[in-house]
Amino acid sequence: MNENMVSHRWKPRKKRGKTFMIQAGLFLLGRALEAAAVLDKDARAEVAKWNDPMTIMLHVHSQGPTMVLKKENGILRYAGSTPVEADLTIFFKNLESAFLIFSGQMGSPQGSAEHRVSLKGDASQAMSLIRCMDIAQAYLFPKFIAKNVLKSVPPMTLKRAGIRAAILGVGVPVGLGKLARLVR
Amino acid sequence: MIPSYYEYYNPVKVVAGNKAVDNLPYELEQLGAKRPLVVTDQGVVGAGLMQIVADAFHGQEAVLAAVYEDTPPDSSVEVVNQVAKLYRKNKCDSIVGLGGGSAIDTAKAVNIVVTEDVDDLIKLMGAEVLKKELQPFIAIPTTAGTGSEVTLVAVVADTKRGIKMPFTSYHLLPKVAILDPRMTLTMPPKITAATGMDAMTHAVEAYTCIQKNPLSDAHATAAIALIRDNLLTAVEKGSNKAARFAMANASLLAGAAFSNAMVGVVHALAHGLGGVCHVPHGVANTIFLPFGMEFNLDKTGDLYGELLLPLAGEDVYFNTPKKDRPARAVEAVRDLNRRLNKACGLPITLKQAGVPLDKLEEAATAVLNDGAVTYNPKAVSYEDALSIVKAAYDWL
Repeated sequence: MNENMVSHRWKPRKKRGKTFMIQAGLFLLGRALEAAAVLDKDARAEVAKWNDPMTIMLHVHSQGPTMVLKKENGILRYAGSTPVEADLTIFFKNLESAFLIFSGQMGSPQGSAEHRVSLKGDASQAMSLIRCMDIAQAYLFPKFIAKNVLKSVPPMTLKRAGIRAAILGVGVPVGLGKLARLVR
Repeated sequence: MIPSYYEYYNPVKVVAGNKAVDNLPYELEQLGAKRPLVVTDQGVVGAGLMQIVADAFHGQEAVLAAVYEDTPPDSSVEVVNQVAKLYRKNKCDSIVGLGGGSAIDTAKAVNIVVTEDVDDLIKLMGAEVLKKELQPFIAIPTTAGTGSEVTLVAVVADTKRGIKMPFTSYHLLPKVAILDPRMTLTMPPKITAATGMDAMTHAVEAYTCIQKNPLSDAHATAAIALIRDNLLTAVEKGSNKAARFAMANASLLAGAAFSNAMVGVVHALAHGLGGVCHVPHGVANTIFLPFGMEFNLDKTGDLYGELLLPLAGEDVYFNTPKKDRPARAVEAVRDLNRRLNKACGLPITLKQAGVPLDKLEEAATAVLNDGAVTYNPKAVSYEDALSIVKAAYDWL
Protein backbone atom coordinates (compact mmCIF):
# COMPACT_ATOMS: atom_id res chain seq x y z
CA MET A 1 0.00 0.00 0.00
CA ASN A 2 1.24 3.49 -0.85
CA GLU A 3 2.14 5.17 2.42
CA ASN A 4 0.56 8.41 1.22
CA MET A 5 -2.82 6.66 1.16
CA VAL A 6 -2.70 6.03 4.92
CA SER A 7 -4.29 8.94 6.66
CA HIS A 8 -3.52 9.79 10.26
CA ARG A 9 -5.72 12.85 10.48
CA TRP A 10 -8.92 11.10 11.54
CA LYS A 11 -9.23 11.38 15.27
CA PRO A 12 -12.45 10.93 17.29
CA ARG A 13 -13.86 14.24 18.49
CA LYS A 14 -13.92 14.70 22.23
CA LYS A 15 -17.40 14.74 23.77
CA ARG A 16 -16.62 16.77 26.84
CA GLY A 17 -20.14 18.19 27.26
CA LYS A 18 -21.86 14.82 27.10
CA THR A 19 -19.21 13.20 29.30
CA PHE A 20 -19.67 15.91 31.92
CA MET A 21 -23.44 15.64 31.77
CA ILE A 22 -23.36 11.84 32.20
CA GLN A 23 -20.91 12.09 35.09
CA ALA A 24 -23.16 14.70 36.70
CA GLY A 25 -26.20 12.50 36.05
CA LEU A 26 -24.47 9.52 37.65
CA PHE A 27 -23.58 11.63 40.69
CA LEU A 28 -27.18 12.88 41.00
CA LEU A 29 -28.58 9.38 40.62
CA GLY A 30 -26.07 7.94 43.08
CA ARG A 31 -26.85 10.49 45.77
CA ALA A 32 -30.60 10.22 45.08
CA LEU A 33 -30.41 6.42 45.46
CA GLU A 34 -28.49 6.86 48.72
CA ALA A 35 -31.18 9.22 50.01
CA ALA A 36 -34.13 7.20 48.72
CA ALA A 37 -32.74 4.13 50.53
CA VAL A 38 -33.18 6.10 53.77
CA LEU A 39 -36.39 8.05 53.10
CA ASP A 40 -38.56 5.96 50.77
CA LYS A 41 -40.04 2.80 52.29
CA ASP A 42 -40.12 0.88 48.99
CA ALA A 43 -36.47 1.70 48.19
CA ARG A 44 -35.52 0.87 51.80
CA ALA A 45 -37.22 -2.54 51.50
CA GLU A 46 -35.43 -3.24 48.21
CA VAL A 47 -31.98 -2.30 49.52
CA ALA A 48 -32.55 -4.36 52.68
CA LYS A 49 -32.78 -7.47 50.47
CA TRP A 50 -29.37 -6.90 48.81
CA ASN A 51 -26.24 -8.74 49.92
CA ASP A 52 -24.24 -6.91 52.60
CA PRO A 53 -21.53 -5.86 51.87
CA MET A 54 -22.18 -5.26 48.19
CA THR A 55 -20.56 -3.08 45.54
CA ILE A 56 -22.49 -1.88 42.52
CA MET A 57 -21.09 -0.03 39.53
CA LEU A 58 -22.66 1.81 36.61
CA HIS A 59 -19.97 2.29 33.97
CA VAL A 60 -19.81 3.65 30.44
CA HIS A 61 -17.77 1.27 28.29
CA SER A 62 -14.84 1.26 28.07
CA GLN A 63 -13.20 4.24 29.73
CA GLY A 64 -16.20 6.48 30.30
CA PRO A 65 -17.90 7.93 33.38
CA THR A 66 -18.55 5.68 36.35
CA MET A 67 -20.66 5.60 39.48
CA VAL A 68 -19.95 3.25 42.39
CA LEU A 69 -22.47 2.44 45.13
CA LYS A 70 -21.59 0.51 48.26
CA LYS A 71 -23.89 -1.13 50.74
CA GLU A 72 -22.18 -1.70 54.10
CA ASN A 73 -23.79 -2.43 57.45
CA GLY A 74 -27.22 -1.93 55.92
CA ILE A 75 -26.47 1.56 54.59
CA LEU A 76 -26.21 2.45 50.92
CA ARG A 77 -23.83 5.22 49.92
CA TYR A 78 -22.54 6.81 46.76
CA ALA A 79 -18.86 5.80 46.65
CA GLY A 80 -17.38 7.95 43.94
CA SER A 81 -16.51 7.70 40.27
CA THR A 82 -13.43 5.48 40.17
CA PRO A 83 -14.02 2.08 38.50
CA VAL A 84 -13.73 -0.89 40.87
CA GLU A 85 -14.31 -4.65 40.76
CA ALA A 86 -18.02 -4.78 41.62
CA ASP A 87 -20.48 -7.54 42.52
CA LEU A 88 -23.01 -6.11 40.10
CA THR A 89 -22.11 -3.94 37.11
CA ILE A 90 -24.35 -2.30 34.56
CA PHE A 91 -22.36 -1.29 31.49
CA PHE A 92 -23.59 1.32 29.04
CA LYS A 93 -22.18 0.21 25.70
CA ASN A 94 -21.10 3.72 24.70
CA LEU A 95 -21.33 7.37 25.63
CA GLU A 96 -24.25 8.16 23.31
CA SER A 97 -26.35 5.33 24.80
CA ALA A 98 -25.65 6.58 28.31
CA PHE A 99 -26.50 10.12 27.20
CA LEU A 100 -29.90 9.03 25.87
CA ILE A 101 -30.69 7.58 29.30
CA PHE A 102 -29.22 10.33 31.48
CA SER A 103 -30.73 13.13 29.43
CA GLY A 104 -34.21 11.75 30.14
CA GLN A 105 -34.84 10.72 26.53
CA MET A 106 -35.10 7.03 27.38
CA GLY A 107 -35.83 4.91 30.45
CA SER A 108 -33.91 1.88 31.62
CA PRO A 109 -36.46 -0.64 30.19
CA GLN A 110 -36.15 0.92 26.73
CA GLY A 111 -32.37 1.05 27.17
CA SER A 112 -32.39 -2.69 27.87
CA ALA A 113 -34.78 -3.36 24.97
CA GLU A 114 -32.42 -1.52 22.62
CA HIS A 115 -29.40 -3.49 23.92
CA ARG A 116 -27.78 -0.26 25.08
CA VAL A 117 -26.68 -1.81 28.35
CA SER A 118 -25.12 -5.09 29.43
CA LEU A 119 -25.03 -6.67 32.85
CA LYS A 120 -22.45 -8.56 34.87
CA GLY A 121 -23.85 -10.20 37.98
CA ASP A 122 -27.09 -11.57 39.41
CA ALA A 123 -30.03 -10.56 37.20
CA SER A 124 -32.56 -10.69 40.06
CA GLN A 125 -30.48 -8.21 42.10
CA ALA A 126 -30.19 -6.05 38.99
CA MET A 127 -34.00 -5.99 38.79
CA SER A 128 -34.14 -4.76 42.37
CA LEU A 129 -31.52 -2.08 41.60
CA ILE A 130 -33.52 -0.96 38.57
CA ARG A 131 -36.67 -0.65 40.71
CA CYS A 132 -34.68 1.56 43.10
CA MET A 133 -33.39 3.63 40.18
CA ASP A 134 -36.99 4.07 39.02
CA ILE A 135 -37.97 5.26 42.51
CA ALA A 136 -35.03 7.70 42.60
CA GLN A 137 -35.76 8.99 39.08
CA ALA A 138 -39.41 9.61 39.99
CA TYR A 139 -38.14 12.01 42.69
CA LEU A 140 -35.42 13.57 40.53
CA PHE A 141 -37.28 14.24 37.29
CA PRO A 142 -40.21 16.59 36.77
CA LYS A 143 -43.36 14.77 35.66
CA PHE A 144 -43.03 15.62 31.95
CA ILE A 145 -39.63 13.88 31.83
CA ALA A 146 -40.55 11.09 34.25
CA LYS A 147 -43.41 10.13 31.90
CA ASN A 148 -40.81 9.47 29.17
CA VAL A 149 -38.51 7.32 31.23
CA LEU A 150 -40.80 5.42 33.61
CA LYS A 151 -43.55 2.96 32.74
CA SER A 152 -45.71 4.40 35.52
CA VAL A 153 -45.25 7.63 37.46
CA PRO A 154 -46.51 7.66 41.07
CA PRO A 155 -48.75 10.63 41.98
CA MET A 156 -46.97 13.44 43.83
CA THR A 157 -48.54 13.35 47.29
CA LEU A 158 -47.60 15.72 50.10
CA LYS A 159 -45.41 13.04 51.64
CA ARG A 160 -43.63 12.37 48.36
CA ALA A 161 -43.12 16.11 47.83
CA GLY A 162 -41.44 16.25 51.25
CA ILE A 163 -39.16 13.34 50.37
CA ARG A 164 -38.31 14.98 47.05
CA ALA A 165 -37.39 18.22 48.85
CA ALA A 166 -35.18 16.29 51.29
CA ILE A 167 -33.48 14.37 48.47
CA LEU A 168 -32.80 17.49 46.40
CA GLY A 169 -32.06 19.79 49.35
CA VAL A 170 -29.95 17.52 51.57
CA GLY A 171 -29.51 14.09 49.97
CA VAL A 172 -27.84 15.21 46.74
CA PRO A 173 -25.53 17.94 48.11
CA VAL A 174 -24.57 16.28 51.42
CA GLY A 175 -25.35 12.57 51.17
CA LEU A 176 -27.95 11.06 53.46
CA GLY A 177 -26.00 7.81 53.85
CA LYS A 178 -23.36 9.74 55.81
CA LEU A 179 -26.01 11.23 58.09
CA ALA A 180 -27.63 7.83 58.58
CA ARG A 181 -24.25 6.44 59.68
CA LEU A 182 -23.73 9.33 62.13
CA VAL A 183 -27.20 8.83 63.63
CA ARG A 184 -26.35 5.17 64.25
CA MET B 1 -44.42 0.51 13.47
CA ILE B 2 -40.65 0.13 13.14
CA PRO B 3 -38.78 0.98 16.35
CA SER B 4 -36.31 3.86 16.24
CA TYR B 5 -33.54 1.38 17.07
CA TYR B 6 -33.33 -2.38 17.26
CA GLU B 7 -30.90 -5.28 17.07
CA TYR B 8 -31.52 -8.68 15.53
CA TYR B 9 -29.14 -11.62 15.44
CA ASN B 10 -29.77 -15.20 14.37
CA PRO B 11 -26.78 -16.86 12.71
CA VAL B 12 -28.01 -20.43 13.36
CA LYS B 13 -27.91 -22.73 10.34
CA VAL B 14 -31.18 -24.67 10.28
CA VAL B 15 -31.04 -28.24 8.98
CA ALA B 16 -34.64 -29.44 8.92
CA GLY B 17 -36.66 -32.32 7.58
CA ASN B 18 -36.65 -36.00 6.77
CA LYS B 19 -33.63 -37.84 8.29
CA ALA B 20 -32.01 -34.50 9.13
CA VAL B 21 -30.20 -36.00 12.15
CA ASP B 22 -28.11 -38.10 9.77
CA ASN B 23 -26.39 -34.87 8.70
CA LEU B 24 -24.98 -34.38 12.21
CA PRO B 25 -21.48 -35.83 11.53
CA TYR B 26 -21.22 -33.80 8.30
CA GLU B 27 -22.24 -30.58 10.05
CA LEU B 28 -19.72 -31.24 12.85
CA GLU B 29 -16.95 -31.74 10.30
CA GLN B 30 -17.93 -28.48 8.60
CA LEU B 31 -17.24 -26.84 11.95
CA GLY B 32 -13.84 -28.55 12.21
CA ALA B 33 -15.03 -30.98 14.89
CA LYS B 34 -14.82 -34.76 15.05
CA ARG B 35 -15.24 -35.69 18.72
CA PRO B 36 -18.56 -34.39 20.03
CA LEU B 37 -19.91 -34.73 23.56
CA VAL B 38 -23.67 -35.36 23.48
CA VAL B 39 -25.67 -33.94 26.41
CA THR B 40 -29.04 -35.64 26.79
CA ASP B 41 -31.41 -37.18 29.35
CA GLN B 42 -32.89 -40.54 30.29
CA GLY B 43 -36.24 -39.76 28.63
CA VAL B 44 -34.52 -39.21 25.29
CA VAL B 45 -32.45 -42.37 25.71
CA GLY B 46 -35.54 -44.37 26.73
CA ALA B 47 -37.48 -43.16 23.69
CA GLY B 48 -34.74 -44.53 21.41
CA LEU B 49 -33.75 -41.08 20.12
CA MET B 50 -30.12 -41.31 21.25
CA GLN B 51 -29.81 -44.49 19.20
CA ILE B 52 -30.97 -42.60 16.10
CA VAL B 53 -28.20 -40.06 16.76
CA ALA B 54 -25.62 -42.81 17.37
CA ASP B 55 -26.64 -44.54 14.13
CA ALA B 56 -25.86 -41.35 12.20
CA PHE B 57 -22.13 -41.85 12.97
CA HIS B 58 -21.95 -45.17 11.12
CA GLY B 59 -19.23 -44.99 8.48
CA GLN B 60 -18.21 -41.46 9.47
CA GLU B 61 -14.82 -40.11 10.47
CA ALA B 62 -16.41 -38.22 13.36
CA VAL B 63 -17.03 -40.34 16.46
CA LEU B 64 -19.20 -39.96 19.56
CA ALA B 65 -16.46 -39.14 22.06
CA ALA B 66 -18.79 -39.06 25.09
CA VAL B 67 -22.49 -39.08 25.98
CA TYR B 68 -23.97 -37.64 29.18
CA GLU B 69 -27.38 -39.26 29.67
CA ASP B 70 -28.50 -37.95 33.06
CA THR B 71 -29.48 -34.31 32.61
CA PRO B 72 -32.19 -33.59 35.21
CA PRO B 73 -35.34 -31.55 34.35
CA ASP B 74 -33.85 -28.50 36.15
CA SER B 75 -30.14 -28.51 35.43
CA SER B 76 -27.67 -27.24 38.02
CA VAL B 77 -24.11 -26.00 38.36
CA GLU B 78 -23.08 -29.39 39.77
CA VAL B 79 -24.39 -31.16 36.66
CA VAL B 80 -22.68 -28.63 34.39
CA ASN B 81 -19.33 -29.09 36.16
CA GLN B 82 -19.69 -32.87 35.99
CA VAL B 83 -20.38 -32.78 32.24
CA ALA B 84 -17.48 -30.35 31.69
CA LYS B 85 -15.17 -32.89 33.34
CA LEU B 86 -16.50 -35.57 30.98
CA TYR B 87 -15.77 -33.24 28.04
CA ARG B 88 -12.16 -32.66 29.10
CA LYS B 89 -11.50 -36.30 30.08
CA ASN B 90 -12.62 -37.56 26.66
CA LYS B 91 -10.79 -34.83 24.74
CA CYS B 92 -14.00 -33.69 23.08
CA ASP B 93 -13.90 -30.85 20.56
CA SER B 94 -17.59 -29.96 20.25
CA ILE B 95 -20.96 -30.27 22.00
CA VAL B 96 -24.35 -31.58 20.89
CA GLY B 97 -27.43 -30.74 22.97
CA LEU B 98 -30.07 -33.44 22.43
CA GLY B 99 -33.35 -33.02 24.31
CA GLY B 100 -35.68 -30.38 25.67
CA GLY B 101 -34.75 -27.03 27.19
CA SER B 102 -32.82 -28.50 30.12
CA ALA B 103 -30.45 -30.65 28.03
CA ILE B 104 -29.80 -27.86 25.54
CA ASP B 105 -29.32 -25.24 28.29
CA THR B 106 -26.94 -27.60 30.11
CA ALA B 107 -24.98 -28.05 26.89
CA LYS B 108 -24.78 -24.25 26.51
CA ALA B 109 -23.53 -23.84 30.09
CA VAL B 110 -20.96 -26.64 29.63
CA ASN B 111 -19.74 -24.78 26.58
CA ILE B 112 -19.16 -21.67 28.71
CA VAL B 113 -17.22 -23.66 31.33
CA VAL B 114 -14.96 -25.54 28.88
CA THR B 115 -14.27 -22.41 26.81
CA GLU B 116 -13.74 -19.86 29.57
CA ASP B 117 -12.04 -22.44 31.83
CA VAL B 118 -13.67 -21.05 34.99
CA ASP B 119 -13.96 -22.83 38.32
CA ASP B 120 -17.23 -21.12 39.24
CA LEU B 121 -19.92 -20.44 36.66
CA ILE B 122 -21.37 -17.61 38.76
CA LYS B 123 -18.42 -15.40 37.78
CA LEU B 124 -19.80 -15.27 34.24
CA MET B 125 -23.45 -14.67 35.14
CA GLY B 126 -25.08 -11.76 33.38
CA ALA B 127 -26.18 -10.39 30.04
CA GLU B 128 -23.80 -10.00 27.10
CA VAL B 129 -20.60 -10.44 29.16
CA LEU B 130 -19.08 -13.50 27.42
CA LYS B 131 -16.34 -12.41 25.06
CA LYS B 132 -14.78 -15.59 23.67
CA GLU B 133 -16.01 -17.62 20.72
CA LEU B 134 -17.35 -20.88 22.23
CA GLN B 135 -16.74 -24.47 21.07
CA PRO B 136 -18.76 -25.76 18.07
CA PHE B 137 -22.27 -26.46 19.35
CA ILE B 138 -25.20 -28.16 17.62
CA ALA B 139 -28.71 -28.41 19.08
CA ILE B 140 -31.21 -31.16 18.32
CA PRO B 141 -34.53 -30.44 20.07
CA THR B 142 -36.75 -33.37 21.05
CA THR B 143 -39.63 -31.16 22.23
CA ALA B 144 -41.38 -28.46 20.24
CA GLY B 145 -41.61 -25.48 22.55
CA THR B 146 -38.52 -24.05 24.19
CA GLY B 147 -36.92 -22.80 20.99
CA SER B 148 -33.61 -23.12 22.83
CA GLU B 149 -31.97 -24.24 19.57
CA VAL B 150 -32.09 -20.64 18.34
CA THR B 151 -31.94 -18.60 21.55
CA LEU B 152 -29.10 -16.76 23.22
CA VAL B 153 -30.19 -17.74 26.72
CA ALA B 154 -29.22 -20.54 29.11
CA VAL B 155 -30.66 -20.92 32.60
CA VAL B 156 -28.91 -23.07 35.19
CA ALA B 157 -29.81 -23.44 38.87
CA ASP B 158 -27.27 -22.80 41.58
CA THR B 159 -28.69 -25.14 44.19
CA LYS B 160 -26.27 -24.03 46.94
CA ARG B 161 -27.22 -20.40 46.64
CA GLY B 162 -30.82 -21.23 45.80
CA ILE B 163 -30.95 -19.10 42.65
CA LYS B 164 -31.51 -19.63 38.94
CA MET B 165 -28.67 -18.14 36.96
CA PRO B 166 -29.56 -16.74 33.54
CA PHE B 167 -26.76 -16.35 31.00
CA THR B 168 -27.49 -14.22 27.97
CA SER B 169 -24.92 -13.95 25.18
CA TYR B 170 -24.92 -14.08 21.41
CA HIS B 171 -22.03 -16.58 21.74
CA LEU B 172 -24.50 -19.09 23.24
CA LEU B 173 -26.40 -19.48 19.99
CA PRO B 174 -25.78 -22.91 18.44
CA LYS B 175 -23.95 -23.06 15.12
CA VAL B 176 -26.55 -25.51 13.77
CA ALA B 177 -30.10 -26.49 14.79
CA ILE B 178 -31.31 -29.85 13.50
CA LEU B 179 -35.07 -30.41 13.28
CA ASP B 180 -35.96 -34.00 12.49
CA PRO B 181 -39.62 -35.09 12.69
CA ARG B 182 -38.49 -38.41 14.21
CA MET B 183 -37.20 -36.57 17.27
CA THR B 184 -40.61 -35.39 18.51
CA LEU B 185 -42.84 -38.32 17.43
CA THR B 186 -42.74 -40.03 20.82
CA MET B 187 -43.58 -36.96 22.91
CA PRO B 188 -46.67 -37.71 25.09
CA PRO B 189 -49.84 -35.66 24.37
CA LYS B 190 -49.76 -33.55 27.55
CA ILE B 191 -46.10 -32.58 27.06
CA THR B 192 -46.81 -31.88 23.37
CA ALA B 193 -49.61 -29.54 24.42
CA ALA B 194 -47.66 -27.78 27.17
CA THR B 195 -44.53 -27.26 25.07
CA GLY B 196 -46.65 -26.13 22.12
CA MET B 197 -48.32 -23.49 24.30
CA ASP B 198 -44.85 -22.49 25.53
CA ALA B 199 -43.99 -21.72 21.89
CA MET B 200 -47.30 -19.87 21.51
CA THR B 201 -46.44 -17.75 24.55
CA HIS B 202 -42.97 -16.98 23.15
CA ALA B 203 -44.53 -15.79 19.91
CA VAL B 204 -47.36 -13.73 21.46
CA GLU B 205 -45.05 -12.04 23.97
CA ALA B 206 -42.32 -11.44 21.35
CA TYR B 207 -44.93 -9.64 19.22
CA THR B 208 -46.06 -7.38 22.07
CA CYS B 209 -43.00 -6.67 24.22
CA ILE B 210 -41.01 -3.45 23.99
CA GLN B 211 -38.03 -5.06 22.20
CA LYS B 212 -40.19 -6.17 19.24
CA ASN B 213 -38.88 -5.43 15.77
CA PRO B 214 -39.96 -6.18 12.17
CA LEU B 215 -37.89 -9.37 11.95
CA SER B 216 -39.06 -10.84 15.25
CA ASP B 217 -42.64 -9.90 14.29
CA ALA B 218 -42.39 -11.92 11.07
CA HIS B 219 -41.15 -14.97 12.96
CA ALA B 220 -43.76 -14.58 15.70
CA THR B 221 -46.79 -14.38 13.40
CA ALA B 222 -45.57 -17.33 11.30
CA ALA B 223 -45.13 -19.38 14.47
CA ILE B 224 -48.62 -18.56 15.76
CA ALA B 225 -50.29 -19.60 12.50
CA LEU B 226 -48.38 -22.91 12.48
CA ILE B 227 -49.39 -23.60 16.09
CA ARG B 228 -53.03 -22.73 15.31
CA ASP B 229 -53.08 -25.25 12.47
CA ASN B 230 -51.02 -28.08 13.98
CA LEU B 231 -50.93 -28.19 17.77
CA LEU B 232 -54.22 -30.00 18.30
CA THR B 233 -53.37 -32.53 15.58
CA ALA B 234 -49.95 -33.17 17.13
CA VAL B 235 -51.65 -33.73 20.51
CA GLU B 236 -54.47 -35.96 19.23
CA LYS B 237 -52.50 -37.84 16.54
CA GLY B 238 -48.93 -37.96 17.81
CA SER B 239 -47.73 -40.08 14.90
CA ASN B 240 -48.66 -37.39 12.38
CA LYS B 241 -45.21 -36.47 11.07
CA ALA B 242 -46.40 -33.39 9.20
CA ALA B 243 -47.98 -31.88 12.32
CA ARG B 244 -44.93 -32.77 14.41
CA PHE B 245 -42.58 -31.18 11.89
CA ALA B 246 -44.77 -28.07 11.66
CA MET B 247 -44.68 -27.73 15.46
CA ALA B 248 -40.89 -28.14 15.48
CA ASN B 249 -40.71 -25.29 12.96
CA ALA B 250 -43.18 -23.19 14.98
CA SER B 251 -41.05 -23.67 18.08
CA LEU B 252 -37.91 -22.60 16.22
CA LEU B 253 -39.63 -19.54 14.72
CA ALA B 254 -41.03 -18.51 18.11
CA GLY B 255 -37.59 -19.06 19.65
CA ALA B 256 -35.92 -16.82 17.08
CA ALA B 257 -38.63 -14.23 17.71
CA PHE B 258 -38.29 -14.09 21.48
CA SER B 259 -34.50 -14.39 21.43
CA ASN B 260 -34.59 -11.02 19.65
CA ALA B 261 -37.67 -9.43 21.22
CA MET B 262 -37.71 -10.98 24.70
CA VAL B 263 -40.79 -11.98 26.69
CA GLY B 264 -42.92 -10.23 29.30
CA VAL B 265 -45.31 -10.62 32.18
CA VAL B 266 -46.53 -14.13 31.26
CA HIS B 267 -43.00 -15.52 31.46
CA ALA B 268 -42.26 -13.56 34.62
CA LEU B 269 -45.36 -15.17 36.20
CA ALA B 270 -44.38 -18.63 34.92
CA HIS B 271 -40.82 -18.25 36.24
CA GLY B 272 -42.15 -17.03 39.60
CA LEU B 273 -44.57 -19.92 39.90
CA GLY B 274 -42.01 -22.42 38.62
CA GLY B 275 -39.50 -21.35 41.26
CA VAL B 276 -42.00 -21.55 44.12
CA CYS B 277 -44.25 -24.50 43.17
CA HIS B 278 -42.24 -26.30 40.45
CA VAL B 279 -45.08 -26.07 37.94
CA PRO B 280 -43.65 -27.08 34.52
CA HIS B 281 -42.80 -23.99 32.49
CA GLY B 282 -45.07 -24.84 29.54
CA VAL B 283 -48.04 -25.52 31.83
CA ALA B 284 -47.54 -22.24 33.69
CA ASN B 285 -47.31 -20.32 30.40
CA THR B 286 -50.48 -22.05 29.17
CA ILE B 287 -52.39 -20.93 32.26
CA PHE B 288 -51.06 -17.36 32.41
CA LEU B 289 -51.06 -16.42 28.70
CA PRO B 290 -54.71 -15.24 28.43
CA PHE B 291 -54.45 -13.45 31.79
CA GLY B 292 -51.20 -11.74 30.82
CA MET B 293 -52.79 -10.61 27.55
CA GLU B 294 -55.80 -9.21 29.44
CA PHE B 295 -53.47 -7.37 31.80
CA ASN B 296 -51.68 -5.68 28.88
CA LEU B 297 -54.85 -5.00 26.84
CA ASP B 298 -54.98 -1.27 27.62
CA LYS B 299 -51.34 -0.79 26.51
CA THR B 300 -51.02 -3.16 23.56
CA GLY B 301 -54.58 -3.95 22.56
CA ASP B 302 -53.93 -2.99 18.93
CA LEU B 303 -51.13 -5.54 18.69
CA TYR B 304 -53.34 -8.30 20.09
CA GLY B 305 -55.95 -7.22 17.54
CA GLU B 306 -53.37 -7.81 14.79
CA LEU B 307 -52.58 -11.24 16.24
CA LEU B 308 -56.19 -12.34 15.84
CA LEU B 309 -55.39 -13.13 12.19
CA PRO B 310 -52.71 -15.77 12.89
CA LEU B 311 -54.49 -16.88 16.08
CA ALA B 312 -57.95 -17.50 14.64
CA GLY B 313 -57.62 -17.32 10.86
CA GLU B 314 -59.03 -15.08 8.14
CA ASP B 315 -62.76 -15.76 8.65
CA VAL B 316 -62.76 -14.82 12.30
CA TYR B 317 -60.42 -11.87 11.76
CA PHE B 318 -62.43 -10.26 8.95
CA ASN B 319 -65.78 -10.95 10.64
CA THR B 320 -64.69 -9.30 13.88
CA PRO B 321 -64.97 -5.49 14.12
CA LYS B 322 -61.57 -3.86 14.67
CA LYS B 323 -62.43 -2.65 18.17
CA ASP B 324 -63.38 -6.18 19.27
CA ARG B 325 -60.30 -7.92 17.87
CA PRO B 326 -58.02 -7.55 20.94
CA ALA B 327 -60.54 -9.19 23.30
CA ARG B 328 -61.35 -11.80 20.65
CA ALA B 329 -57.62 -12.66 20.43
CA VAL B 330 -57.58 -13.35 24.17
CA GLU B 331 -60.68 -15.51 23.72
CA ALA B 332 -58.98 -17.43 20.87
CA VAL B 333 -56.11 -18.36 23.21
CA ARG B 334 -58.56 -19.33 25.95
CA ASP B 335 -60.51 -21.44 23.47
CA LEU B 336 -57.34 -23.27 22.38
CA ASN B 337 -56.52 -23.88 26.05
CA ARG B 338 -59.98 -25.41 26.63
CA ARG B 339 -59.61 -27.69 23.60
CA LEU B 340 -56.17 -28.85 24.74
CA ASN B 341 -57.54 -29.45 28.22
CA LYS B 342 -60.30 -31.59 26.74
CA ALA B 343 -57.92 -33.43 24.39
CA CYS B 344 -55.23 -34.41 26.89
CA GLY B 345 -55.98 -33.00 30.33
CA LEU B 346 -53.52 -30.11 30.04
CA PRO B 347 -54.03 -28.02 33.21
CA ILE B 348 -55.49 -24.61 32.42
CA THR B 349 -56.01 -23.33 35.97
CA LEU B 350 -53.49 -23.14 38.80
CA LYS B 351 -55.82 -25.35 40.85
CA GLN B 352 -55.69 -28.05 38.17
CA ALA B 353 -51.89 -27.72 38.16
CA GLY B 354 -51.88 -28.55 41.88
CA VAL B 355 -50.69 -25.15 43.10
CA PRO B 356 -51.39 -24.71 46.84
CA LEU B 357 -53.51 -21.62 47.53
CA ASP B 358 -51.11 -20.45 50.24
CA LYS B 359 -48.21 -20.17 47.76
CA LEU B 360 -49.75 -17.45 45.58
CA GLU B 361 -48.22 -14.52 47.52
CA GLU B 362 -44.74 -16.06 47.37
CA ALA B 363 -45.08 -16.64 43.61
CA ALA B 364 -46.22 -13.03 43.08
CA THR B 365 -43.20 -11.74 45.01
CA ALA B 366 -40.82 -13.78 42.83
CA VAL B 367 -42.35 -12.27 39.66
CA LEU B 368 -40.88 -8.84 40.34
CA ASN B 369 -37.26 -10.04 40.27
CA ASP B 370 -37.64 -11.68 36.89
CA GLY B 371 -35.90 -9.88 34.04
CA ALA B 372 -38.89 -10.44 31.73
CA VAL B 373 -40.80 -7.73 33.63
CA THR B 374 -38.41 -5.17 32.11
CA TYR B 375 -39.63 -5.95 28.59
CA ASN B 376 -43.34 -6.05 29.35
CA PRO B 377 -45.13 -3.07 27.80
CA LYS B 378 -46.78 -2.22 31.12
CA ALA B 379 -45.28 -1.81 34.60
CA VAL B 380 -45.97 -4.80 36.85
CA SER B 381 -46.39 -4.29 40.60
CA TYR B 382 -46.70 -6.91 43.32
CA GLU B 383 -50.43 -6.16 43.50
CA ASP B 384 -50.77 -6.69 39.73
CA ALA B 385 -48.90 -10.00 39.89
CA LEU B 386 -50.97 -11.22 42.84
CA SER B 387 -54.20 -10.23 41.17
CA ILE B 388 -53.30 -12.21 38.00
CA VAL B 389 -52.19 -15.24 39.98
CA LYS B 390 -55.44 -15.20 41.98
CA ALA B 391 -57.53 -14.80 38.84
CA ALA B 392 -55.77 -17.76 37.21
CA TYR B 393 -56.27 -20.00 40.21
CA ASP B 394 -59.74 -21.35 39.50
CA TRP B 395 -61.43 -19.43 36.70
CA LEU B 396 -63.36 -22.27 35.04
